[in-house]
Amino acid sequence: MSTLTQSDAVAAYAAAVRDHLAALDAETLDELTGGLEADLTDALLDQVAGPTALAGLDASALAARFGDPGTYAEELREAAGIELPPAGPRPRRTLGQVFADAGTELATDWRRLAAENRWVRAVAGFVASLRPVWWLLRAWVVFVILGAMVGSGPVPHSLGAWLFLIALVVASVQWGRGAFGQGRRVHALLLTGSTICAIAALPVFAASASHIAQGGNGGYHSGWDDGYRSGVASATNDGVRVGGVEATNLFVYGPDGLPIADARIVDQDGNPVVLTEPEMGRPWTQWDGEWTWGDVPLGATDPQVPLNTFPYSFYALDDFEPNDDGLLEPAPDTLVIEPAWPAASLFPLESATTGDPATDPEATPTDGAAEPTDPVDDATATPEAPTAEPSASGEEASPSGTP
Amino acid sequence: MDTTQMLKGVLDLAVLAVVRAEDGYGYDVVRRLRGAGLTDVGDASVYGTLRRLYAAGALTSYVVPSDEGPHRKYYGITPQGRASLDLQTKQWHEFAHTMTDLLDLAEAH
Repeated sequence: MSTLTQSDAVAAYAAAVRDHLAALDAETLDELTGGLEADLTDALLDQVAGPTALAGLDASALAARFGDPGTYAEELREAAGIELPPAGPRPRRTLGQVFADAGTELATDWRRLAAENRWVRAVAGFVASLRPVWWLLRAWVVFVILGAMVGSGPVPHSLGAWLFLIALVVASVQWGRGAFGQGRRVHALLLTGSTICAIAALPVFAASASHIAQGGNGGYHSGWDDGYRSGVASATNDGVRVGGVEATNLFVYGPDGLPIADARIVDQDGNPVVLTEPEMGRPWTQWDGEWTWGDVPLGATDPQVPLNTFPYSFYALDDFEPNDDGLLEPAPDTLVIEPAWPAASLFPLESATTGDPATDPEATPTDGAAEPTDPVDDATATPEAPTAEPSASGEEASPSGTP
Repeated sequence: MDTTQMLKGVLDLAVLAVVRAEDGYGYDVVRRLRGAGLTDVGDASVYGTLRRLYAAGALTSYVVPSDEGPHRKYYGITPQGRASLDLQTKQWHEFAHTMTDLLDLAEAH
């Protein structure tokens, strides 16, 4: 048998030990056999005279002292409490196991970190003492999330909401104290919920803080609604623009192409459509008689006339006189300027010309013609304005179509 | 009587006690255990125990460079290890007392 040098004999033995533990992952193996050579050498130095004698030892001498490397490896592994992974291909792990293993690993790392650093232990101890605060916070986060679903705010405003919040707090604290939910499945479920709460805590905090900062006391949603309404109101202030220019009047024509007077217009939410006065760009509903220019719709001075009824009829501003407060008021004998229809009539819609009385009784030609008139003729026909006389300026649309 | 089996149960306690007295590297701990009378203790068992106690947070470790030969990994006890040792020492005394009483009683008959 060849005589190995000191390091060779020890290295060979250590390598044989590692060989027997090859099934372990590299990190665990390193953890388990790190410093093995030093330990073996120290042990041998107890038996032999000195380093020179150590060099004379061969593999069999090491085996005599430490036993079979395989047995040594087993003893090392068992004492360290490390299980050998089963032989063969690695078994598939479920996602749950992967998470569980990661959790265990994390816990081990954490314990090591805590063991090695005094400040980590101090901080960890402090944080751990804050656990009851987290229990309360967790309950509140659940309250806010559930509350947002039913439109209530981060602060309970009713007895029911208070009772619900208190119930959540009791449940959260009791679970935190280990009073229930210790079954494996329930625990996992609650842990997941708790984790979601932890993640949601910050955005919930931010949203609630801004809500409270806005002085909102009617709940999260009412605050949102307020903002929405003010947005709608400011949108209303824009009046109606056509091609980027403020409309000063609107004209409604029916499917038969004939004017409809006193048509009331609202938006998709039922908000009245009101045009704006040209000086400040405010809706006419907010006009109190300050100086403006152009004509003033009747509705701006007469509350009986809705301002979403079109077309507007006007008073000329020249006919206004300042009252005692300096605000403009129409003179008693002011004449009404009737709206000037831009066209006496428009082309009737297809449905109107095909005359489907079931869906559109107005589609029947108003002049009682037996056969449907040609659309071109119809466009030039003088409308029989149902309720309002077209103004004198309607002379461009001459009544050429009248039989 | 084969003390190896008995040793298995109390090796943690023995290793913790030795390291608490003074930090030590692997073979140093083996030597001190043997010097204290645990002659049957196996090298590998002690090393494995040291690793396990370290992984469990009862021991801390640091590497000390050596002029001659490889660097040595020293182990020291942590507060957690000390608490664990205190508890196990108490349990050991109770257990030993119980066993002594039991055996004395059997001998008396």
